[in-house]
Amino acid sequence: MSPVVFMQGNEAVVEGALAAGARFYAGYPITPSSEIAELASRRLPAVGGVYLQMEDEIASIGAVIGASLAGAKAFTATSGPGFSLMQENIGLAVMLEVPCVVVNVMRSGPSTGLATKPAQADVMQARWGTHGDHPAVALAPWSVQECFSLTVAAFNAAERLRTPVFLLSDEIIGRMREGVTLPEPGSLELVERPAPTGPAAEYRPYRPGPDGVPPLAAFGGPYVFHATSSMHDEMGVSANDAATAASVISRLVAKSRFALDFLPGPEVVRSAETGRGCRPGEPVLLVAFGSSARSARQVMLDHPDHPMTLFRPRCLWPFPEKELSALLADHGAVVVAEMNTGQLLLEVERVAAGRVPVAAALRSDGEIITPEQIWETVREVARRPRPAAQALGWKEGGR
Amino acid sequence: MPGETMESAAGATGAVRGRHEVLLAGEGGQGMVLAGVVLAEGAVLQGLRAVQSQWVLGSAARGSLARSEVVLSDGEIAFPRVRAAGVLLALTQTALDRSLPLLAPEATVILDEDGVRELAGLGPDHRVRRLPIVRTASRLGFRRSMNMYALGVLVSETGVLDHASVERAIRKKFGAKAPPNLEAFRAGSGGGPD
Amino acid sequence: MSRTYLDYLNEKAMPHMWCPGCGNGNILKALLAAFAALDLDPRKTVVVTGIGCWGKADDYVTTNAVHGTHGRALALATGIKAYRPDLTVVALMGDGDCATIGGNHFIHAARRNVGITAVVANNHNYGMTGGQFSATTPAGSRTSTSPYGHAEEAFDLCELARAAGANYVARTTVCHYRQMEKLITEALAGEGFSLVEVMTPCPTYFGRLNRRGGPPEMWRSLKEEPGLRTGCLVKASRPSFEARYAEIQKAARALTGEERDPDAR
Repeated sequence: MSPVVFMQGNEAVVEGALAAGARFYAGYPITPSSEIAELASRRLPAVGGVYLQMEDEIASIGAVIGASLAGAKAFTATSGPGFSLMQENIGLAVMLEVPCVVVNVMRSGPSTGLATKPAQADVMQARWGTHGDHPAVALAPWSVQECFSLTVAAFNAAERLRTPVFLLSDEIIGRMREGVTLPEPGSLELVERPAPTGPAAEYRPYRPGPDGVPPLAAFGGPYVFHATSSMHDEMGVSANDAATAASVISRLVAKSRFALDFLPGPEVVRSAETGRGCRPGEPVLLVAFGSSARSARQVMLDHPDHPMTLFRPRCLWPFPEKELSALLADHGAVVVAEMNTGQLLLEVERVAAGRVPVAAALRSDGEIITPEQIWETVREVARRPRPAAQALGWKEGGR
Repeated sequence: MPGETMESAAGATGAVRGRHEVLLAGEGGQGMVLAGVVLAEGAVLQGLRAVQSQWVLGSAARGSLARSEVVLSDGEIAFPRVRAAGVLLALTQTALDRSLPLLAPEATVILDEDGVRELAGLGPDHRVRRLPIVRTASRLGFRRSMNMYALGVLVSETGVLDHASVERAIRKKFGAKAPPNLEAFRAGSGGGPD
Repeated sequence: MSRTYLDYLNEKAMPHMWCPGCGNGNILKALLAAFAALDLDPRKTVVVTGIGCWGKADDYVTTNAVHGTHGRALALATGIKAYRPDLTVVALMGDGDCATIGGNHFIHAARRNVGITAVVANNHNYGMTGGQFSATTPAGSRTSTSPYGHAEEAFDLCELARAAGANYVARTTVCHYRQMEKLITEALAGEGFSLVEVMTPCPTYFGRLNRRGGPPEMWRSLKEEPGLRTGCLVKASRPSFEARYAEIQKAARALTGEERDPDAR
């Protein structure tokens, strides 16, 4: 077994990217993601890769898209303000069907906000940030180990789907240090983008393959191709007709659903494995991701006699609604904990659809959500009378 | 679980059973963040689990606060931050004052006697040690590795980790620059300054 | 094997979409003739465009091409060239695309001296969206968003590129075809960042709103415009970004051995 190494979350992202085969980074420094740029600038040239520091985040994602078209596994890292600047070109990557990974180490906003403090308030921006209908894939690590493994998963998903994939880390996860086990070189399962086969003259860069994803050549190779941000046909040539637009949009959007087949599923941790007091309909289901899930898990450790289950989506988008839905019947109430004013909560309420009460422990003052705040909400929701079949809505938990 | 793929902590030795929280605080430039990193890495090398976070207020200039939060455990560490520290090392008044709300009632509090004058905020059950840490480190020629000297004091005062594990962590962290840092750590952990 | 400009022209896409009297077709021919003069391999050549009239030129070439977002052609081109220095990378932009929304990328690409050839069609306004003013619209000119005359001064793109550090800077007009072809060829053949600014008329908007007459009058006055400096304005031999980065890669490879963690495998 590989030894445990001690490193920072942001460092583990770079190690994961390199292990996944990334050889190109373009970015603009921004707290609290800058360690990723710094380590990338040190590591990439040593493995024949390229680190570019661009003039802004718009250029950064642009250069990442260019390098990916030239065959590189490419990534960038940023935080809220930079993620906002990248949104137009994230749409470009969706439309050109260019694989890339965008790491967002979330910080408190809006605007400059509390620039050095954590938040988880870019959940909806990750889903709907760029204009137009589009798929969205976003993974959220809760440990330094997952900063590594989910970065690898993000590259694999991006390459397989030919679409941008987000890693939604946050200031707490990105900057804390803990032990990780790095896999032996060569032991990781890596996915490469689907490559064209057959004569160059017959290459159609936007003809869907069997799973809906077209093969992607690289500039400079045997296949000459054209890619455009405008609506286009299978040759990558602009096409304005409604039928082409309808089929392109539906194929792009379907990538989200396809992604569910292979993205890391949610982790479910039950505290009531001892069987103590675990009657169906009784336990509280905690739903949290990233650093908030660490706090939610702590509530279970602090209160072992109170049956609770943690549902922790590792993949936020597409949201694992089937798995969540299946758990609802066994739980008396749901408590969503997140460091924003209620973003994942909307998704959970949609899935719960009034079947169980959904309460929320929310925090958006730049401080980590505490186990005590979540526990307060758990106790409060446990006191509520069970509704016949209606949601009770949510209430901000005590601080 | 966080770190669930890590090596088993079953072989862990030393004083750590369950969750232990340690704060190392000073002003920017004193190296307390790095001292926390080394402490936590030493714990990992000893087979424990550890999480280190930092809290930096203002730029790394005089009067600012720089604090490492370290959580050690022989089991799962969920919440990564400090809630009730059993150990505080504070080199300045600000470092102590800002850390008081995070102290357990019976915490061991190691203070630099020149940097911290006002002890009114401490509770009756706190075990307080006042030592001329910065002055002694400086006198012994460890001005630049004062943080490792202070870490030595912390380890010997609390017995929280094996000295050997911390020394391994220092070697890993500093590489070619390890020798003066090891020397400083050993000076600090040799029973502390008189 | 010797190619002609027709080998680089996507004839299936003809006729092109540009207005009568526009010079973009002439620039396209000069560009493709320069490709032929250098016998560029279409597989090793990438044309990058942004948004605008001249930004539609990617449809008309047989090389690799990518049509991106408004102002960002140079950002994409930088990523391509940095990762594949062996490719010839050309960015086609108008004055709105390059100098206005993309101005920041323009000066930084020149400063970085990355090996991209920018061929900028400057017609003093946004043609595709109806003749609004851009960063190269002369002060006092009327456009669809400066109906009382333009209140701002114009950028001199060549001076901007020179000050920012481009290796090669040239200006020409669509009325000087031979010079245009020669300058683009020189720019493509060199190292580092190169700019060829091509002045071209927009009879549909800028000409009409400023009472400059129709296409013949505009072409004649452009050909004889007093004080317009044309030809090669800067020719320097600073090392390109790619050349410098190759040195960095070498240095990084040599250094990391020493920096390895003593406990690492």
